[in-house]
Amino acid sequence: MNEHINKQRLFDYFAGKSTALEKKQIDEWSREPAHQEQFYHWLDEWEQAHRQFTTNLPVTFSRYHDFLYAEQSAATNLSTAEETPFRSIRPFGRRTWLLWAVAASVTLLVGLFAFRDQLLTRTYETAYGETRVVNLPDGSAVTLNSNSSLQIPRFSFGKQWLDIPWFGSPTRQVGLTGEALFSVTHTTTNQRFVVNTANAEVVVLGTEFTVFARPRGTKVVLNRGKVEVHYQQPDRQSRQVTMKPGDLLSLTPKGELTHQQMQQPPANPAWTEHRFVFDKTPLTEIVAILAENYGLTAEIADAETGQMTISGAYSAKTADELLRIIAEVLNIDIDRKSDKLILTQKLLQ
Amino acid sequence: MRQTGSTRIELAVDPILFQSMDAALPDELAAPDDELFIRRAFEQDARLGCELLFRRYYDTLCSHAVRFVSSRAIAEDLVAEIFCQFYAEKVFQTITVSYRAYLYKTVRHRAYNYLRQTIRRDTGLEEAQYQGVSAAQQPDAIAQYEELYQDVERAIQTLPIQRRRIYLLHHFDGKKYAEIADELGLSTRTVEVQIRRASHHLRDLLKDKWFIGMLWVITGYIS
Repeated sequence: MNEHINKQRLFDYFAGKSTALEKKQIDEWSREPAHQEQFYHWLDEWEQAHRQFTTNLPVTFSRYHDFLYAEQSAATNLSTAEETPFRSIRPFGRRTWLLWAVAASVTLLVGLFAFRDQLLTRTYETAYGETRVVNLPDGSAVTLNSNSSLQIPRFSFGKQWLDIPWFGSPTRQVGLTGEALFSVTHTTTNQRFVVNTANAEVVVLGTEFTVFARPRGTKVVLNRGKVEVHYQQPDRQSRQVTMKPGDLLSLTPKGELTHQQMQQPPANPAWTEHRFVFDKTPLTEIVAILAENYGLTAEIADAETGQMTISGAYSAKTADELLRIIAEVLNIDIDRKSDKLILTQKLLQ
Repeated sequence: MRQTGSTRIELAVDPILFQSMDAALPDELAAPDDELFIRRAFEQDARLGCELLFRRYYDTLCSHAVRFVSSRAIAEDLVAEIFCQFYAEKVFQTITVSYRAYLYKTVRHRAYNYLRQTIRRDTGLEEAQYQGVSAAQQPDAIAQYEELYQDVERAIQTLPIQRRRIYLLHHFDGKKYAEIADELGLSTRTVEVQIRRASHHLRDLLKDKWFIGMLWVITGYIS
């Protein structure tokens, strides 16, 4: 097949017009030492016909001539000549590749550490006035009241075979700020379900209960089943209380506990149906509820007004609806000044 | 060395005339001994031989080199260096192939090494360039060099027109950023960005196919 290799073939090849098969043939042909001479001969001929640019031959030639006939300085000339190809142009900027790689890895590690909570836990949040049902992987359901957040381990929720900090634990752990109703399913392995709040842990096997965990305290209402509440007393000793259905447990931020039995435990907390149930609830607490559920700041004009109480069950989907109801029932004026509400008693005419 | 003829008349023959006579011969026969004249000159005086060689091949070698390195200054430096070594290290005494074959082969090797160094330097491993180039890292067949310079050519062709123009002004003509900016009415910053993008583009296109060997250097450096 080597007979096919001729000058035209090679010229096409030099110009990049050969097929892959032709290239292969030429490659094989050129491996033979005898053909190499021929190859370079044609290459030279082709370059003569297809010059890329013209050099300033007289100038470079006279420089070469000087080099040849300046024996004594030949060595120095040569050494500078050796450096020239890599001196004149620096086509690509020098980047210290390794330094960048190290810097990037360090940044990544620091970032992973700084955001480990975000990476390892999934957070469900509700806005003011929003309620939301979250279904957990173990079949439990959590109904979040407004302005609340629930943290669930992203990878290790309920994975019993893992017991590594951040990565797994033999219990089902969730975190809560705000208010939520938990419907916890019972697992065959009696795996415990733990709700972590700022100052207490609610430990469950399988039951239904409400946890209220806001800055003004923690409350637990048990609907069904049995739960344990672990908390820290003001003297920093940790205590635990076992609750029975219908129990209401209140914990102040300092750790003072009140335990009371409700006459009629509700099937569901009122807020899950956008209802508000008040039982001689003072206006000061209503103000707290407004702040917690709708992010509204309200101010009571005088102490006397703050002592007014409200009772009954009311349905309100928005803050405005609730405010209108309160204003009507208590016969008070509510003035809105930008973000702030001012509650004043109506003057008797 | 080859057996030389007995006549001295050839010394008087004009190289150009000699060239045209050579071209008239059938190609297969032309190859063997068209350098006889230059070889005679080397026997007389190495300097004379070098000069003839320089006049005869400098231009075409530069033209060939620039296909790889895409910079006329670098191509000329590369070729000039080979001619200097050819004399200083008395290479002409030791070669067993024709001058032409030696010169072209050397130009292609050097151009290949240059390309590799620039691409490697861009990868930031300055140490790498001090490691010797072993024969194993060179293309294993002479025909592969054609593929390399054609890939370089194609890579340049794929640049957007404006970027290619700026790239060639900078690399091929060796113009400074400011000169190009003046000439094209652009900001120096734009020129700089265009050249950097072009360089990265070319490097990315060439690296994987031709210079994958440097992965060894990188992994060796880390571990």
